[in-house]
Amino acid sequence: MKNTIRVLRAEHRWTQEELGKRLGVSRNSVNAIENGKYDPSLPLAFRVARLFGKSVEEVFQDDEEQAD
Amino acid sequence: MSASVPSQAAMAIAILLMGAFLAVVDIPYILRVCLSLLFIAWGGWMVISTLRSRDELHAASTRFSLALAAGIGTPLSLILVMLMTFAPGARNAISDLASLGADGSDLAITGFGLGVTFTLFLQCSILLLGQALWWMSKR
Repeated sequence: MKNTIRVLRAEHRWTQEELGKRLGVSRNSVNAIENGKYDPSLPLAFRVARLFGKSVEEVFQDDEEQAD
Repeated sequence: MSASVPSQAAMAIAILLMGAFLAVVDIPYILRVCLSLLFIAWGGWMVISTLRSRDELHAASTRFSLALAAGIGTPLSLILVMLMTFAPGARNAISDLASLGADGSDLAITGFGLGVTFTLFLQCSILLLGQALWWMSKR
């Protein structure tokens, strides 16, 4: 699953550490999600989207859907 | 509040130190039981709080490392203890080691303590290895 967290984070001028604090996760966790190494659960995906004022679909994109 | 990876490593080391302390130091039996229960409660809290953590990646890494320690660490330590007990060279070395630590107490009990400590050491090591592998795979 791809995501736009890195771009959104840069727009807000937040470090991974800062974003992690706002989400209640560690910097390593933010890094893993950002790099697409870990797909977050729905509650965490909603928390991320809500934090950036976006919908879940705007932040996270399904790889297969993009290929279609 | 959940236990971070360093605090889990500290817990693993503390378990080994506590095990060694309880095995070596002569304290009243009731105090020994109380300390053990306190330790189990602390360890349990650390694991449960991590598994229910808001940081789901830490919970996932802990689930993975616990599964690795239980699934691989337990059978591996049992097999190693069995192999070492019956291997001619190792058998003498274990016996010598147990007699060093026995110091007047029962040799069999010291040997049993050594076996338990070895099993704990192996499982704690695999637990930490599991954490390291999981986080490396997410880099």
